[in-house]
Amino acid sequence: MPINEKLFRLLIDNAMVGVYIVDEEQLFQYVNPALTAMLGYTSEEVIGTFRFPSFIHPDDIPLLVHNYQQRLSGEIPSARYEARALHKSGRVVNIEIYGTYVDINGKRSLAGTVIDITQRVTAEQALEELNRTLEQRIATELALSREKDRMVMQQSRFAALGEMVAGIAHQWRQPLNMLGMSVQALQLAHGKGILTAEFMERHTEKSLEVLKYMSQTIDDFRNFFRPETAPRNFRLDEAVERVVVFFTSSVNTIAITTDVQNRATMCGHMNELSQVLLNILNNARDALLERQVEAPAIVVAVTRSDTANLIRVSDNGGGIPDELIDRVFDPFFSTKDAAKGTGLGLYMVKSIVEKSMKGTVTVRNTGTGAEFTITLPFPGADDCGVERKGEHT
Amino acid sequence: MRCLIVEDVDFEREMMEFFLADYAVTETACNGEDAVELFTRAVAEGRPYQLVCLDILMPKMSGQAALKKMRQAEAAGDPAHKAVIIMTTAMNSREDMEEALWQGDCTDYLVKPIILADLVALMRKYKLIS
Repeated sequence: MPINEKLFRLLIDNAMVGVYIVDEEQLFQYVNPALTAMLGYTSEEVIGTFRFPSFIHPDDIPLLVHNYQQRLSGEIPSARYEARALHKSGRVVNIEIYGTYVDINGKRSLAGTVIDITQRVTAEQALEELNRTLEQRIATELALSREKDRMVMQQSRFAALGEMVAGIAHQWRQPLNMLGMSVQALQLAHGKGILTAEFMERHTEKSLEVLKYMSQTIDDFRNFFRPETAPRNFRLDEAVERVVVFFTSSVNTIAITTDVQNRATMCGHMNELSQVLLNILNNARDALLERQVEAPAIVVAVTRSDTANLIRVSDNGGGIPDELIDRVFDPFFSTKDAAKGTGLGLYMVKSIVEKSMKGTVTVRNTGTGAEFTITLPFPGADDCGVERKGEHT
Repeated sequence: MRCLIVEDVDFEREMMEFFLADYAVTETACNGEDAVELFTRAVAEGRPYQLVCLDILMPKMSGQAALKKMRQAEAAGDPAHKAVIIMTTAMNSREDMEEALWQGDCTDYLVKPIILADLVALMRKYKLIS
């Protein structure tokens, strides 16, 4: 019907998709302007000269031939597939083809439509690439973060070890001086001819006493920093007293008092709490000595709220500057010289309290100084269970 | 020579006295407060100390605070006399010592354990003995 043919011709010539008809020899019998524009040729160049595979990327020709033969043999009526075409300029055009077997005037032919999907494919590839690199980037960041955690952990251990060595060094300086003086006194007395048996006796006794003290110091430190494996029941106030005695033995210039209003028992590692308290006390000591506070004092209070056991450590060292107070628990944050502060003391406090004791630690300025509060919420493990009951009658 | 030994540990104070007995007439104090009192009185009575061995870490008043007060007291006495004040300490770091030296106007310092020969060398250096 002439009207129909004219209408179809108009539609196909102006279609937004490429349209083609090829004969049995795969020679193009018709191509519409959309298809020629897609591939960069004119219809005159193509019709009767080019065969279908000429436009296809060599890698995709087997696929195309396969589909072509299937349709031509009537095995399948139509096929829809993607392939890569080559533009006249040589660039790759991603196309989607929908081809059908047709009978035109008794001749076996194939007709089909083609759309340019280059943009879609490019976008898909970009997305895929993005996903792949995103995964890679996340993996890299994660590895970096783990490495950082590991390093902080490692350095925390070193810091704890450093605390111990510094503590022993501090504790030993005095007895070493006494021993040294005793030895020199013997020499001096001998030189003067006044080295009596009594003098000798006294200095020997003194030296042995000092040596015993030094040996005891090592044991104390070893016990204090020894990691405990199994959790045990311990009384909060006893843990606090133990640390205060330990601290006082090395610092005799600061007045330290305890205010115990809560004798709760909790289950955990007493040495961890000891280390937390010692780090806070050392921090207070450094502030008090550095600022040369007139009558330096620290108060450790053990109390409770409706929901938690509380341990508060407050000093009269003037407090922490407002602009720094939010950062005191950050790893490697220190206001001290590199030689004096690792920046890990309060970080260790925070990680032990939060991770191991399931509590929180906060700091505020009281007006006269800093106040650290350790909150250990109920029902903290307040009893380690049956295996310990015999010891807590 | 008159010497004031300021040290809170009994045994160490006694040993310092023993060490210095051949060189000076010694008096002792076991904290910063008592030391400042003795020092101030000595200046006022016109018989000031030539040498002060001053421990830093002590209860009541630290060595640094005592040092400051001693230098203030000294300013009221004979301007020609300035005591040799040697800080003795068990402090760990050299920075602490330098700080004490520069801030407080001490003459010199000795880190514990104290070696008598070093102390004698300092006395010689500051012309307290020949």
